[in-house]
Amino acid sequence: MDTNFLSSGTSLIKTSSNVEDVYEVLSRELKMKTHSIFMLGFCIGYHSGQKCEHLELKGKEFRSSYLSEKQQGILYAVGINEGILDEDSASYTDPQKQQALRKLWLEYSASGLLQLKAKFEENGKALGDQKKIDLLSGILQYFIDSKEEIPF
Amino acid sequence: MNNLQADIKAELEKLPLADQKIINELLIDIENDDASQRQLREIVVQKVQQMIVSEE
Amino acid sequence: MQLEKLKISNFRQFEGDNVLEFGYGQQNVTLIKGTNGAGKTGIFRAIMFALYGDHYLEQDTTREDIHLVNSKLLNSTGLPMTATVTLYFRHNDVSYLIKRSLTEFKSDNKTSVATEGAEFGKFLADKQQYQKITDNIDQVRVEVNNILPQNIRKFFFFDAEKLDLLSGLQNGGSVAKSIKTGVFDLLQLSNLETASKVFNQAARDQSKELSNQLGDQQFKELEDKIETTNNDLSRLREEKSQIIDEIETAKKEEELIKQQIAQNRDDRAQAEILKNKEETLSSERYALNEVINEAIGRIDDTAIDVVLGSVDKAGIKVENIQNQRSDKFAKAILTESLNNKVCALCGNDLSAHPENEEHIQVLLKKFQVSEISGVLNIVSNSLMSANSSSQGIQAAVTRNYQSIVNHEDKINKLEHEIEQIGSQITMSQNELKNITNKEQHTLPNVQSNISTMTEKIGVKKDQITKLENKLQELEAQQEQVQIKDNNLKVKRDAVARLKRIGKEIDQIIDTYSTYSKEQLEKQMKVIFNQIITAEDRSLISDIKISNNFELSVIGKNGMSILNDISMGQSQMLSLAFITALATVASKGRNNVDFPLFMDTPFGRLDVENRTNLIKNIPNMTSQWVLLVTDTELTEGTELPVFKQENRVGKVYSLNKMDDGTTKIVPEEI
Repeated sequence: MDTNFLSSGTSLIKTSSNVEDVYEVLSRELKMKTHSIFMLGFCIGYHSGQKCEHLELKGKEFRSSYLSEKQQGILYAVGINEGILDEDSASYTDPQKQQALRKLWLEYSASGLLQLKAKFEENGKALGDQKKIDLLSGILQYFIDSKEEIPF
Repeated sequence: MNNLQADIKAELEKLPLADQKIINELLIDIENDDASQRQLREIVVQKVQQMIVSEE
Repeated sequence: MQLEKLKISNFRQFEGDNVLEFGYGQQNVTLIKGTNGAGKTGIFRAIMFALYGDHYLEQDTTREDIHLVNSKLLNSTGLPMTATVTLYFRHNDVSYLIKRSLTEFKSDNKTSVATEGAEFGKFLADKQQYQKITDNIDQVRVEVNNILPQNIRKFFFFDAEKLDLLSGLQNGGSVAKSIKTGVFDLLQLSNLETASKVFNQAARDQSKELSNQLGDQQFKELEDKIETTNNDLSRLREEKSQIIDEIETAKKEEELIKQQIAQNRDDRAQAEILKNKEETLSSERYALNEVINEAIGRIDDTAIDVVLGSVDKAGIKVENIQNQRSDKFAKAILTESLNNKVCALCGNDLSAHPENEEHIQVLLKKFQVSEISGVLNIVSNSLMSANSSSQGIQAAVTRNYQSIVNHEDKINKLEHEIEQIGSQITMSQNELKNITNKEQHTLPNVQSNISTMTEKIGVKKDQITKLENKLQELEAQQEQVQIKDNNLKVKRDAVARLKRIGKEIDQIIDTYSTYSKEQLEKQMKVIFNQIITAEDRSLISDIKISNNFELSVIGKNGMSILNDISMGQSQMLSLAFITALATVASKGRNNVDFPLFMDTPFGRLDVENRTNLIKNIPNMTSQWVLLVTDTELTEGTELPVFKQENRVGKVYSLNKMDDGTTKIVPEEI
């Protein structure tokens, strides 16, 4: 059994439909791939510590093998961080654990994307009306703000 | 003659008398408009020839 | 010519008999009032029909619809009906009558003309006795033409709102030529021109005849040569005058282009600035796009950098796990240590401690692939890589963000400036392009054409002079030929005399034409200054009439401004031209006294112009007949001026009846 389950060719990740609009606008305007948007949301969500627990997994989907090794590494690291994965190799192959981990990733990603959407809409335009430059500025602003936060 | 403007008349009066006479008569014929151009030519030729004969 | 009375019967909307009398002398103004459709133009039509037999006016566009017989009568009776117009007028102290009639009938809803008649006659002495001169339509035309030549009627009978003399006078077209002919007629120069033709042609005929009768070979040869030379001369003169026409046209075009260029200099300077700004905008947009793409390409790594602080703990855990296993160290760490010659874990310098390097090599050999070491390696590599690039990424993000903000600011500013400059430019891109094209291509072409044509004129002049000399020589030679026959001698002298008189007349025409042109110009300026507003007076510095009777209006800057003047100004200029023409033509004789007949005279004029006209026109023409709408004759503006000036002799109102016909009713002012 392959412990590196994200790289397994058949593994599909279905994202939540409540953030599908964010996927659509980022894909349309910034030409971002689904897995990149997913990771963007995840990083923001996990950094904020907020999860979105109401998921409806009928949104965009992507093969997890599309994620870069670096991205996969971060996702596994979170698994280890949260104690879902450990030194026991069985924790990597257990479908239930894998399932729990996916849910966690998706919850953080969805939360991150919702936060991003709120950030985008600060300029007064509806999400669908945001242009390339608005979206990119929103993302960059978030990045910069996140580094300027007072650590606690 | 009374139809001609004074300015033209003045110009005409500078010409030799014989010429003045023949021009004025022609202008009256033209004004009356009862001869063709060919007839008018015949008239002036006749008059000029008579003028020359009488001058001699 | 002085209009006395107009009698209209069953003509147009005037059913039955209607009579109008015209003011003259000190009360030489006649006002004919009517609402639109009441028949003001019908009065105009009646006069033009009476004088010239016109069925249509120049302003008519759809000719089929215009019939002169009262249509109510035609429709109700079903019989052929006759319209009659009689005009009574005085000319050279004689009272005349001109009467025209037209019979029309209607069948199959189509109105057609059946017969047309005309009569011209005069009243003897005390107006008691009438003497018919002719009832031949062609002869009537000749008679009227002697009094008011047809080709100058538009100067005296016109619809003021459509008065468009200037466009015809300015561009050297056929209108200017017809005006020249008209002016020559009016100034009686055309009779002189005819006289010149008669003498010159008679001279040529006689010379030829003489040559044939003489039968002298030498004389005949000379005669042939003279004839050929004469033909060549007239051909050359014709060519020369054509080139002169062409040069005039080209010079006008040159001036027009120069004016356009001067007028649009500001626009074009602005357009140049606009172009530069647009180029800067485009390069700013390109730069912004580059930054955007760079930042987008870095989103994946930047996102990881954001989350890095929250997953760092995992790195320690991974390390611990890796330490617990027999394959204590990840293979990559061992390889990396050996490659770098520095222990990746403790930082020992391996080149200084060969025993440690040996140990690592042993460990590497012993390395066993564990089930999870792959995943753990991914995690540690990922964290390591993210950590090492963190600073660079943060710096790049800040830099990109600032750069985007800067470019956006610049772009917004540029867009605003471009919009502002754009709104200041009155011409369209195409027009500007067109002007630039004219400046760069058309203008040099026109100028080179002008100089080519000027050279040609020089050549023609030389050729003409040579031929004239040759002609003189041939004629002298011909005179030397011995003629024995006395009759033929007389003939030869006659030829010479005819030629001389022809030349004398040509000289007078030339002098007088120039003189009258100058008079016309002078008079026009005087009149124009009387009738225009003070504001316009400061705008227009000079008026010029060319030898071809083309008009130009010179502005304060010394340039022609004919294309820039308003419709009202144009109308005043036309009026000035017409009254000046009448004044100049009247000089030295009192029978060029034409009435000025104006339809809708004030439509386009402002109050000051209207007042000036009401005060001045009655002094400039023998009679002034005005067809006015209610709005042109108000209690507030025009009526008080008319009353004060006390020049109005007759006032009529055209009353429109319920059945569509109109009655002419006399009124008091």
